[in-house]
Amino acid sequence: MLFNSISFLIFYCVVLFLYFRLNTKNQNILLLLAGFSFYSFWNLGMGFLLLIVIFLNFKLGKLIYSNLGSKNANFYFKLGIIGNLLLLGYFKYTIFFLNSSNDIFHFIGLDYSVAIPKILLPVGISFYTFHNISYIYDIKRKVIVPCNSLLEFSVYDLFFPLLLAGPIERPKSLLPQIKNARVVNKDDFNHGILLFLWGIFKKVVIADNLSSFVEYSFQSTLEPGIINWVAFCFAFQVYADFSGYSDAARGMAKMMGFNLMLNFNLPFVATSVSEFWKRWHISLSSWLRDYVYVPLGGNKLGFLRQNINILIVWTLGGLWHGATYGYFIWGLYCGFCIVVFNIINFSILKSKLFPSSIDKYFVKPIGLFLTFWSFSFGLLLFSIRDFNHLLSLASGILGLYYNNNLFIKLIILLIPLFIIEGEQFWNKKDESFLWYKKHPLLLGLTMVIGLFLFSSIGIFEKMEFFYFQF
Amino acid sequence: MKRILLLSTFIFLILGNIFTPLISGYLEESSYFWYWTSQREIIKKRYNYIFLGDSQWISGIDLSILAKNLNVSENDILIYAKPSQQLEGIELDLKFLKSKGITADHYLINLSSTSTTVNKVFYTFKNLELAFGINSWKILIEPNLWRTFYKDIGSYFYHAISEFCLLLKFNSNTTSLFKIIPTIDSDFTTSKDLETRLGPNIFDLLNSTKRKNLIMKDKLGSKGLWDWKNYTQDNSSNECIEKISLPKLDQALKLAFAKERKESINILQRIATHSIDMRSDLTLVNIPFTAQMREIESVFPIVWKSLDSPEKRYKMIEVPSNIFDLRHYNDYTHFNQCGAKLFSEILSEKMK
Repeated sequence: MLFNSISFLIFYCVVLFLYFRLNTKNQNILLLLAGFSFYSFWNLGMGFLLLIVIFLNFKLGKLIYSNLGSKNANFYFKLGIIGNLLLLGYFKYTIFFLNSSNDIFHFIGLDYSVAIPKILLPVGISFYTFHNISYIYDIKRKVIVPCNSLLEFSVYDLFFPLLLAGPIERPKSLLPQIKNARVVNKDDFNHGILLFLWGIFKKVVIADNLSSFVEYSFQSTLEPGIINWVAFCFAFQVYADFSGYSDAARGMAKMMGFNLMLNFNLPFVATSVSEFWKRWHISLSSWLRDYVYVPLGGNKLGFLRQNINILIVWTLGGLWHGATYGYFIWGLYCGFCIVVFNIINFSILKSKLFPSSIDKYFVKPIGLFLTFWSFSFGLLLFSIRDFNHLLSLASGILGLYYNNNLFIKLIILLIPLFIIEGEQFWNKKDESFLWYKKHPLLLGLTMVIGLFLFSSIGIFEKMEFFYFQF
Repeated sequence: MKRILLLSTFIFLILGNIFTPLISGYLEESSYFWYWTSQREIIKKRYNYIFLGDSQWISGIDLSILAKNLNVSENDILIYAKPSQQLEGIELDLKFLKSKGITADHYLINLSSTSTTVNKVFYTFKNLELAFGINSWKILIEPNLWRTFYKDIGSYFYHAISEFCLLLKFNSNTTSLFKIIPTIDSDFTTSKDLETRLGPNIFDLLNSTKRKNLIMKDKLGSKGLWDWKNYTQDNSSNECIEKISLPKLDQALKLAFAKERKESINILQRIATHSIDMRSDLTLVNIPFTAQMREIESVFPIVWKSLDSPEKRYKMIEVPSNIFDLRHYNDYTHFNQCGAKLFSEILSEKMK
């Protein structure tokens, strides 16, 4: 059941209808049942696995808390972290590890290969594992107290708007919202509807139209220069797809009285890679910062160690996205881009060599251009098949290419995004459609035009969200 | 905001329904044909012959020869065939015609691999029927058709919504044209070169589609016959000259026609009962494909044979395939005008 399907819409409407007729405890029971059915729609067995994981993490959280200050707490903490990572490792990385071993055997001339088992990857496992790690970690460092109710903790992991692709919510923010009565006011509910609709629009109209071009290009021999267009489209596809999912998730949660964290904040206006990662998939970047980068020492152990930490964090971040060489290199590449920026920032930008006007009209636009293209070209690493493929893509970057038809279609597809999120940027808002109450006529016009575009050029073949593969 | 949402949805629906006839000119050929049929006016109530089935009829009949040989007027024959038509659609059309009081002494239905096996054409048919079938909304209230037309509750509701929001019915057409890599049935879409696959300018593409549909509409006239995919004023397919060179079909395609669609045979029996109720004759016709195509048909000959039982309630006509060669075809499955003349001669002889 995908957010962009009518089946899901019916499911959600039924849940919402019941939700507002129940008290907080029964609402939580409903959310648990809804989350379990929603998840089990993919695979019932994996649904039960998730229930076991929830129960074990719930118990571990209690054990850590009751033994805080003693060695046992450390033991249970390590058990929890290792257990969660082993589970993720088994499902996500076993095949990669075995394939890599076979590659090494082949490389050193050993005529031996390990048989590759068939392992089904539970959808959303990367997200719920991080959820559980942050729960255990936050109990250990006394940021939160463990949840007393298994029901509430189950909803924390099984809350269906964010179950499959985040945002990766923090226990400190989400658990109290589950525990306490939710107050849904009319404005939040209306804004939730708009966020949901806008998210689905981004997915169905923008992302899925761009994805057919990107996928086709990856299977074709490309003329020099086309790769730049592919990179551009791929960046907007992934953005529209994932931010669309996040907006839809946040909108649905908002309609039920939950406030989920902002996951995307106009990333393509970032003027540095460092700023970019504060705007793109914020819940993952901040998770990696808080649970990996800071424990590694962060920036407190000197400039060199800080940048080594960044490389470690981003390599892990790359592997979190997927167990392939492509993701590994992509993670390393992202880390490398940040390190390069840090060096430039440390040696040139920080010293305020440029007057503010040059900084505003020259340095920042260059930064914006470089940030966007470094990210876009980096995304191409997702599709790398082998080294020769990488070289052929890289050699195409220098060519020039223009196709009027491609240009016109891109403009038509991206105009709604530029208008809606351009307004958000212009008025320095964190979210789109905050203007809806002040300008009802404009909202009506936007709805009519949006419905026209949605029904005429929206792709209704069910296409999974890009981030489900992670 | 509730009022704004409702009002804008209402305005959108009104405007969408106003725009629909304008957009119809830009549909791809099969959709356009179905749309044209849904708008078609049938003036007579009683016919001698009604032909129901798919595009094999559309390009396979020479009405003047048929009428002359059967000793009836051309107006006594109604060709009510649609591209990719299946027996489910034929049953719905029969009901529709009956509801309008349009009946015939004889009904003729063509059967082939495409209508009796599990293959892609069936899925194309489902989309066409749901979007452009006459009275397609009736499927929503006929539970015995749900299993055929809907794969889940979502597709049921999608169809229900599209009955109000006509733009949704055009969605697969508009998206295939608008996609960055268009997926329409055209020469450039088979190219391996990306530059070519990006296609001509979208406006040129729209104009060319509209021009083709106007030609098709003109050729269809009121008879519903068309030399399949011939958009020129050229009548050279009247001449029996081999103009096409068809590559040998991939034998893997055998798989596409390897599984009988049992439901289609059940429906055929229902149609037979229906025709008896109407005191009309029913005739099943096997119109031959090209030799290459016949080679890969594994199941249809068996199905055809199984229909020829002693208790059958219909006539069966098998037109001999060996008298046709590539001079008579436009492609693997459709006769050209030369083939239509020969076929109509033989068919009318067998119908007597």
